[in-house]
Amino acid sequence: MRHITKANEEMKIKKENVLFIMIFSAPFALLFLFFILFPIFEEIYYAFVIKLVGLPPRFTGLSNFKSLLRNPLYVRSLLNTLFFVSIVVNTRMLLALALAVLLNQEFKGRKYVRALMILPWALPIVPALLTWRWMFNPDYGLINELLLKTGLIKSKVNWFGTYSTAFAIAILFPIWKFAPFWASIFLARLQAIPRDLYEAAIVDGARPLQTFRYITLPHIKDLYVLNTLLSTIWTMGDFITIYLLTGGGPAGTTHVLATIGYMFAFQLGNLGVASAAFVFVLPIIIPLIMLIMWMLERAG
Amino acid sequence: MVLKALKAEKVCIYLAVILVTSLMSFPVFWMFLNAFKSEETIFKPLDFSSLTFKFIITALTDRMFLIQLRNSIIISLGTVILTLISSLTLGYVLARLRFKGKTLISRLAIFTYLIPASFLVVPIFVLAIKYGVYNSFLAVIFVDSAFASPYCILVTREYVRSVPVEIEEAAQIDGASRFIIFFKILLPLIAPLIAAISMFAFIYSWNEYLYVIALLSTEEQFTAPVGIAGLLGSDIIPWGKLFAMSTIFSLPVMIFYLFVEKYVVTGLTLGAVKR
Repeated sequence: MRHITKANEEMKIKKENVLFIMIFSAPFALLFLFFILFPIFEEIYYAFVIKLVGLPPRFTGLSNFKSLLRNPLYVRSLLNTLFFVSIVVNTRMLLALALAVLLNQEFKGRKYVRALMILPWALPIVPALLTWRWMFNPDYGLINELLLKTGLIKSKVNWFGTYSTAFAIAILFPIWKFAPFWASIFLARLQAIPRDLYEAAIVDGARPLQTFRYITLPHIKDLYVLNTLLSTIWTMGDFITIYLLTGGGPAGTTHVLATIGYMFAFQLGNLGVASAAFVFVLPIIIPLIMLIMWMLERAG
Repeated sequence: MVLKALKAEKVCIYLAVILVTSLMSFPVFWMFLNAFKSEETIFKPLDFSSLTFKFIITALTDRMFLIQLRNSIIISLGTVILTLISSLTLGYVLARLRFKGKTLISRLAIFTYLIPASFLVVPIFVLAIKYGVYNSFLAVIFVDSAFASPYCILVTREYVRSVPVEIEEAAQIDGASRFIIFFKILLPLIAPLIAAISMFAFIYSWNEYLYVIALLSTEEQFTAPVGIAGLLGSDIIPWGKLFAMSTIFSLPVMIFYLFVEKYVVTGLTLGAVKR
């Protein structure tokens, strides 16, 4: 008798748990379904059809991809993305690590310095981008004014008027904006390294570079690799930096993947080609995501 | 000798700190400074002779800016609510219950966390029309919540795991259902987490740009950052007003940020970038 009630009780708990799991998973599951999964299928489907805004889709095979690869602006945007991501991610991660090591030193006023260092990250991104545009404004910008005053340039530079300077500014911006974010993550890990390790090393006469090489580095190696991969995939999707800083200009030469896809869809109204522009890089994105997942699961 | 070397090292550290800090924080101060210039000095970068509130007043009396500021607040609060609902629930389930498909669900969450949001803008635009939410705040709230949730789910899972399970077990033996346990026992215990998630979702949405311009179409619906950046399209760009608006838009969240930054970073190292 008692056994039966106990079994019943357990059944009841199990049933209740199933209901509970279903109800509690539903909100995210629905968001995922409608705004992540269906869009992915839709995008892959659209990549293979002719779809103009307002017209029904028509199957077209690979012609969207063919027209993309014949489009010098698209090919250029792919190369730009590659260039942008590799320089931004690596420079930023090194800078972030350096910042974290610096902030991990003991000195007076460290708390305030940390707060100041966080500022670029805390500033909302649109005001940050507009400030950069203003600083590099050819006529009234601070940078030209300072360079003229110090005699480093003879006449005003039109920073957004040539590819190299415009793209260089677009690369510098995300390094500046998000280095504090990655530095914070490194710093949290650095502070978890036991202090006595460093003290013991110093007593044994280790130099700063040696303590970094033999104590700090082994502790952050895995995190550094993981952060680099995370940063890579997020930087690949950067839209707003190019959109608001250079607008893809001059003459469309500074477009990256996210901005050119947006342009195909919302300025030219060609949804098929825009989808294909993104689907084309899925063979790179998906393995990268799987690699990061595998690393996260291994770390957990 | 050793002391001298140590002292030299200290000086080097200080110099490096001062140099790096001022360089990095400079543009932020530059933005604020430009909001307090005047029509006479705004086009002279190094002239700070007359600092005024004129641009701030112009910004605060700009009807469209106030509407867009209100839109920003509505969309951000909506995202906070929806993200809390979707992440606290699933985060709890992932932390406490064992069931088939659990690994799959956490992988889907991580997948969403990683995929660049901008790569899905075309199909989300098309589907928003099909769903009938195009041109409404709801569309942006849904998308922002979908992309902000995964991180919050992972953080919730880690946080709940660190809460002792004994209290919940005791309640279960007393016959309390999972629902009661979640609402009556767990939620009061995780207030700091709720605050951290709310802030993350709020700032995520406060910064949203792409999905606002893709899913909304009129100036009256745009959020403040889209409106402010839209001033770049004017014949004569009103830079002073633009930075006054930027200041009003940025300052509250930045102050908030500096206070709770610790939570966010702790959360990040806990959930997303696990030890």
